Amino acid sequence: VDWQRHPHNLTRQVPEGWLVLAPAAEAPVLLSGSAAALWELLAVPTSTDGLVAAIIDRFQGDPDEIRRDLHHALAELVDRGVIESASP
Amino acid sequence: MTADPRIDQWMRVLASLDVPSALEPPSTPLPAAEWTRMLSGARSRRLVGALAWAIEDGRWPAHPPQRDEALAAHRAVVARDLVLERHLVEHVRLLGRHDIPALALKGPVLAHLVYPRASSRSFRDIDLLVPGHLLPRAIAALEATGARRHFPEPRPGFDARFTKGAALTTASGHEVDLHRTLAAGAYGLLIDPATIHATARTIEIGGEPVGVPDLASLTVHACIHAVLGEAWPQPEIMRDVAVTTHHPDADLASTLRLAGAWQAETVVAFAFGATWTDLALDREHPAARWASTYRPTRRDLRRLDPYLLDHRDHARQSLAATWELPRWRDRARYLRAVALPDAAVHRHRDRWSRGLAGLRHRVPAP
Repeated sequence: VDWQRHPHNLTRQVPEGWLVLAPAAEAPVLLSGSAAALWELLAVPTSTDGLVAAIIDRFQGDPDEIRRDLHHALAELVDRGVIESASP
Repeated sequence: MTADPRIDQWMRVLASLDVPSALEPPSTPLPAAEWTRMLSGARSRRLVGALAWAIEDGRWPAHPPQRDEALAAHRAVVARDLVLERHLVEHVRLLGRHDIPALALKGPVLAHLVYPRASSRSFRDIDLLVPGHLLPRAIAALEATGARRHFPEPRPGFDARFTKGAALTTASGHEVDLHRTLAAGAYGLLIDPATIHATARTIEIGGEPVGVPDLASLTVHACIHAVLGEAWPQPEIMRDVAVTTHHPDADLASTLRLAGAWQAETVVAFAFGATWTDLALDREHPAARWASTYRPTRRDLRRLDPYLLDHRDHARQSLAATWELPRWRDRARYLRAVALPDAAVHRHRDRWSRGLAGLRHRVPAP
């Protein structure tokens, strides 16, 4: 599965990370720290494996743990409407 | 600006941070009381973004609680900007469904196109430019969604031909300014809005196409807003003048050509002069050199006078505008609308007067 930013998000970079207003959201969400890093990786549609590899490359760490954390983070971003599955 | 010259100076410093300037931020964190007044000034002058990024870049010294306070204030402002930007896109789409081409103006456009960091330039309302002959339809389209116009049209036909524009408050409580032109009074009649539409381009905001003016139009508009919009150019607007003129794609010749076509060179020279002086910018910049040699005619000065500090007067602006209309018939129509508006305008003025009277009753005597 490839993941991508929702094409109708409105975004601004702020010193702490990114403020993202999803199309259906009432208020923006602040993505900071590793969530901001994940957001920046999603500038182009990327698979879960691709994201895991990029995060290991950037932050190091246990691949299984990173995959588990990433799974939760992606689920939350989908839930907030700021990313979606890019697969047909 | 404010009653506090020191805070005014900090506002000028914040407004100058995006371009080379001789103004300098404080060398140490401001004392608590001064910090509070400075942050309050930055909030009201839309300069919180400049402050937050300056702290983040290490250019403005701040204690950790000051930093947290500035960043929190910035987040709140940017959150509002994003919600406004959504409304901007919705209104462009709404007008598009009525075959009314609309160009976004001012804050959101400058944020996306001109400022090095979009979140540094915030805004408080939505400004859209529509062709004059379609302005009445654009107003009707917004009113059909529950928007309320602030002031009624003085007389039938005034909106399409003479007005600067119409301000409306939408059902969700946001202000939308629909512009026919870029200024009130004489300059509003001298500007040819068709030029702005003809040279416009399209950008994407939130994945949607939005028409925007080209950089020369944005620069002249910033100058017009700085000089004609206020009795004296304010730092946050001079910042727009500074950033547009220092943009890597800025072309002074194009800007001056456009200003000349609109007979607004005096306004641009005044805006450059005030900006370069107040923000202490490099006087060798071509814009500053041009402004220092520009000599307005008597007619230019007479035209500008009703907008300036000591003589600022809406009635004089309206009267002076009459002489910019080439046909006597238009002059008569314009004067009649301004001097003898329809009953709806009188009712509106009555409500305003009653509101003021009520306010006087409610305010306890000292």
